[in-house]
Amino acid sequence: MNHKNETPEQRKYLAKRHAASRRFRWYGLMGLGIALTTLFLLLGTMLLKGYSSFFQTQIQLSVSFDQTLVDPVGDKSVESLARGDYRAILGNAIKRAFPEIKSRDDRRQLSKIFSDGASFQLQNLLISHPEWVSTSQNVWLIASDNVDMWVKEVVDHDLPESQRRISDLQAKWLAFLEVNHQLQLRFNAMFFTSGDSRNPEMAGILGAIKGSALTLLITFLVSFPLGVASAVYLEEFAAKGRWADFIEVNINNLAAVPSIVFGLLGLALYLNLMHLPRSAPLVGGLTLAMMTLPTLVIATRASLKSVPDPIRDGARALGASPLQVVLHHVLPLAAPGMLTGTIISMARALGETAPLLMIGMVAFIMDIPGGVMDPSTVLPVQIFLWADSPERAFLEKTSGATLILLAFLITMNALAVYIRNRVERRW
Amino acid sequence: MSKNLNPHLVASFDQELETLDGLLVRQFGMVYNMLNDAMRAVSQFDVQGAQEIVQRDKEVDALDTLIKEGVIKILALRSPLADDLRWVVTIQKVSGELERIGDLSKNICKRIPELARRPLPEATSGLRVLGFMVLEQLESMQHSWIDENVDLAMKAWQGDSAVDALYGSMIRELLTHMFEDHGNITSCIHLLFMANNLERIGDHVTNIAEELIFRITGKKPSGDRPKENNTSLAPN
Amino acid sequence: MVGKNVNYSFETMHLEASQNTTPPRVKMEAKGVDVYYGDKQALEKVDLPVPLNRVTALIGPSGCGKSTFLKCLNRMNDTVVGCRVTGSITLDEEDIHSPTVDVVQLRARVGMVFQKPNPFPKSIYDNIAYGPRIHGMTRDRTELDQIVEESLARAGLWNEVKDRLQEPGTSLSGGQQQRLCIARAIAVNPEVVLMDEPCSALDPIATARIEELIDELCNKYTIIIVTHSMQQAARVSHYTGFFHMGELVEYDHTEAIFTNPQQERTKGYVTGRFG
Repeated sequence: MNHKNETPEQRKYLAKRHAASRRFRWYGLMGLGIALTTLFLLLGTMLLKGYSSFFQTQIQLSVSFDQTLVDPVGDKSVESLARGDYRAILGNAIKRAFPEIKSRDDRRQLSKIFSDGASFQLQNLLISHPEWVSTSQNVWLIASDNVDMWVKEVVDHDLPESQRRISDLQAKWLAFLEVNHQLQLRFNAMFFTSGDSRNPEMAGILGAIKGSALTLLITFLVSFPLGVASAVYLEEFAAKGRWADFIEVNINNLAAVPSIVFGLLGLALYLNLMHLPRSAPLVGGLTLAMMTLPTLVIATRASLKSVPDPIRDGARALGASPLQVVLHHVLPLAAPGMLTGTIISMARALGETAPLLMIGMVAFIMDIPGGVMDPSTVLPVQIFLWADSPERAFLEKTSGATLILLAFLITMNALAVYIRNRVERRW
Repeated sequence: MSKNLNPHLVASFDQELETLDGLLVRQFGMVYNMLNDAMRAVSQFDVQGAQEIVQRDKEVDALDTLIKEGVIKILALRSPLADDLRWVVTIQKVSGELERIGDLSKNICKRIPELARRPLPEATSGLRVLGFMVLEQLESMQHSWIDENVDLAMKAWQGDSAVDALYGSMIRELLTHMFEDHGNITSCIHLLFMANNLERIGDHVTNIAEELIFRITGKKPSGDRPKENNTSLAPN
Repeated sequence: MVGKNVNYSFETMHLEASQNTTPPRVKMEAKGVDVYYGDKQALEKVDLPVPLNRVTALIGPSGCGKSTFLKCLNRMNDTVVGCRVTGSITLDEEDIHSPTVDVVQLRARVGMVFQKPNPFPKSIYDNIAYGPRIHGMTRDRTELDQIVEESLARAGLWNEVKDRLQEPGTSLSGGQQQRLCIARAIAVNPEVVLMDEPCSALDPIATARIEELIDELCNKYTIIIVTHSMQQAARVSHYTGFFHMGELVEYDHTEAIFTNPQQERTKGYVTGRFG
């Protein structure tokens, strides 16, 4: 703009101001770029590493379910089928598939390409298909983790034989199976339907997911009513003064306390004092509730504060009692904010490991928890456990579980964003 | 600047009020000079001068129009209240009164040529005294307006009774002249109307006094107007 | 010419022509009211009568205490931290601070309309119905419908919103929102309506509507209005009180305040001159 009275100094100063704001925009874009790159790198590596854990190597065998072996009682009942000798069935099936292999040592090597869980798999299959007794079926059986790693080419095929877990002989068989289309990478349903296991090919995260869900349920049930009630009391009813300030400072401090301290508190309070069961979602939930409560109170108070006073005044001027003002007007208006805050603190609780280590949720638990008193683990702890395991195959499981955890976190945060945007503020 | 009031937060409002008030003071001066010159023309039977004075009434009327426009402008744009409102409204009314005084002075001058045909100096002297009294009242009104002097205005207001009394005695005197010589009747009738005009001017001055008192105090002066019976033409 | 001892004013003649001739009864009265916020004194010895079925305007510069005084009348100051009210405020000769008066009930009798229109973020219908509902004024839906219609009609809003009662109150224009708030306040059938600068956020046409509404409402309600606009006070009110520095400087007929105020401070404020 050419202003009549503009001096060269003014023009220079103006140019400087514009340059400064342009620079500032670039700083912002750069920061954003770095953040996004990091995020995509993280997600990318996780996806690349973890993606393969959703698939596993399976080998097709023709299995004949010999009645004398699988159904000792002969009534095809679950009890009877459960007592069958599926190891023998598997052994026979392998023998039939490779009739040329006779030596005991080679046989052992051959059976090693199947997972220890393959016989359990046969058992489960038969229990769900009792009509298969005395028939032959082509079934896909899980390969061992070493085979899985070999097939996924995680291990270098060119290493000398002594340094790899798959012998040349085994590699030959696998190649043979693959040529016959009897070896495939198939969707790993087990990963989503079973609990932890010492065998990586059989390890699943359902136990951890359920444990997390139960723990979060407890956390929510305890911290949401308590948090909302205390926030409403502090914000709407408590007299402002030295006491209120004191409490506010303490709540803020509590929110900043490292989470492991809450774990110690949970250990002392729930396990040592109240003798609640170790590793139980109940204790985990209670511990996480303590950790979440301050954040929840702060978030709820912020959303209560954002409800404009004229709304309160309007209700009060019509003769609404303080409780009516809160229940009829303030809470409904603050609800979206409160829910967002709750979801975000729940998400934080979902990702929390440290306090749970202190109350024993780090134990190896194979069973899927049925209730809040059953020992269980949670997703982040499961990740921690797997990351610590020596087997090569657990590495991809770690990434896979991380992906699942991230998916849950992203879903929860997206839900929070959705609620925030959906409930438009109209005042 | 009005001496009783603080300045406005909006200075231009003060300036507009001052301008308006200045116009009114100028109108005061114009009307005073007009009446003063009219009375001199009467005593000297100056026909030429009288005609010139009649022309001056147009200026007074023009000033009156100007003031009324100014008043409307201030009322519309400034929404004056309390003292300001009374001031503005009073300016409009006083300007109207002055305009009437100008008209009456013009009427006096219009009769001078008739009077000059048969001058009656001995009958005119009473009129000169009446004129002098009214002029004095008008001048004192002008001073009390400028000084916002309620006491002076109150005196002018009460002084009207003296004018009325003199007017009454003039009527009796003129009747005597008419009884003495029927040839005087024409001149005496003109003198009578002139006296009546002066008496009306006195009333307008009284009105101005009332307006000023209202402007300053917010109330009209209490009690009846000090007024002699001026409608009776009969002696006694 | 008016006779010697007759002291008519335009105000009284106008009122007596348009309404009954008996002088207005005092509906609310403040006597020696002091208000403190902590150590700071916000109001000092305020004596002010509020005549029945008349509009009383409170004017004065910002921070003069007029809004504070208004909030004392329905005890909205109760919840303000550190606020202390002494002196007596009566409603129909009963002290509103006496233990027999319930503050919830008091606010049903003394309604309030705020500076910024503050409809609840609910439907137009629910905005009006809220007061009657919480006070249990109706037995069934038909009665409630009737109250809603009457209140909206009395606030001059019925024709504009009757086809969209379920739309949110916040979807209305500013002036309509304020009339909605007035309708909401009169839905609980109060005796006194307090208005705290009800037009300060509105355009001149919406303002004129509200002023016309106030004029109509004062037949049924006693109205006290705080306003920054002296013209508005002059237009709508019958009585005016001028507050300055926490004092009630002058209280009189509106006409007297705006044509011939007795106090120097009132004069200075009303004419816009340095005090």
